[in-house]
Amino acid sequence: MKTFQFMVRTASVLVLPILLSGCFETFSLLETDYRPKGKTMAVIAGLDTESNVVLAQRMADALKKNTRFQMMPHKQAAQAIPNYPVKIKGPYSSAYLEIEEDYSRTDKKKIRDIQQKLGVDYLYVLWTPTATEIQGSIQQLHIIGQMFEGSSGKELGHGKYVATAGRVGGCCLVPKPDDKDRANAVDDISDYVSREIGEKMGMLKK
Amino acid sequence: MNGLHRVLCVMVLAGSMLSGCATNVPFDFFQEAYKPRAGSLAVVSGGADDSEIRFADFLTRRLQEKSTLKVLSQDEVERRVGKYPKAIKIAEPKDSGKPVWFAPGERARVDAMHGALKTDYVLVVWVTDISRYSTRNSVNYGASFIGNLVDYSPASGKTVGYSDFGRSRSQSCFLFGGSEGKDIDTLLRLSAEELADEFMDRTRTGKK
Repeated sequence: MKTFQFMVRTASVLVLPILLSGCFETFSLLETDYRPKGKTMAVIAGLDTESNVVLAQRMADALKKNTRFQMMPHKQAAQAIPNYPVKIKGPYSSAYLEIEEDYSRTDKKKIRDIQQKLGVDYLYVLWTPTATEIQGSIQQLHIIGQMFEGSSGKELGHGKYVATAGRVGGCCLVPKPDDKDRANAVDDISDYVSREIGEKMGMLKK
Repeated sequence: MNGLHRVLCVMVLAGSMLSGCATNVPFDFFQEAYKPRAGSLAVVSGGADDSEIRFADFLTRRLQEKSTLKVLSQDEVERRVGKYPKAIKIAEPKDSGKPVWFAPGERARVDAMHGALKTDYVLVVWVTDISRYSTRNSVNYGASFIGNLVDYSPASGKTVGYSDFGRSRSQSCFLFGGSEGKDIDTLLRLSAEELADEFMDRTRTGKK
């Protein structure tokens, strides 16, 4: 019986974060049978918060590692955009406990202006408008992203997901996630989503 | 993730904390004898999360509409301050009866913002602990609101007032086009209006 209880507890520790981050489609293309029309890409933050900028940086690194896109280094993208990070109206109607997406709300004009400055084939914009905490031991950064193509700023795909740090246990002694846990959570979700993007856009490294 | 995280709970406990045990002061001064002056005010969001930005905006709009104070719009606050909102850290107050929420060193950041705002008063507000909690028959949303008013007249320069309250709202019927976001939006708006009304009452700045 004790063994079973231990297994259930361990399972809850392992499974819950996966469930929490797995409820969303992290990236979906708007067109079926999509063929890539270029190779260069940049990732930028849609909000001027530190967490958003760090995420954009980690996502750019992950896309470089996992895909065949030629990634513009985040630092270079930041230097090319005046006053970066800048706030860009994002694809959501509200973002409290979760993001309520509305992809038509994005400030496309601002996106076009930025994409023309960067001169890349693809621009992936990420927003992190809210963070939540569950029972004190799990912290979640809610993320929504849109991929734009060419200098016209045409939307190519989008998705939303969560970076989850921490774990639940069977007692109240589970420590709160620290900076390292949060950084790992961002790295993990960036790694996962970059592979999804690579696969769906036909650019995943073999 | 910054220090002001939303709390997502499915426990009834969270609800009872919000509605029962929490302090209930939408706005009050530390000193009973404090005499506010007419003048200008800037509402400043203490955090960069969506809920805090919207709460500050609802509060600003209510005060602009109903009070005799000259209240800067949130766009004007952003224009003057530059990068806005900036996260202003909070800490457990030394005196819970007269709570000053600024973490050590953070008041200086508000003073620096005031250098650009140049208003007589700055009201800093935070939204903490947005939660969803379920009972047997319903789903409810709750949130806690805290704030501090700083008087920037040359003779004062002190934190003179505070907010510390929580409110909740039942989930509306989703069959009629409602959403969690709309419910929480309404909760934020009603709470901001309550704070504004109490502020105008205590400062005697409501329009006749």
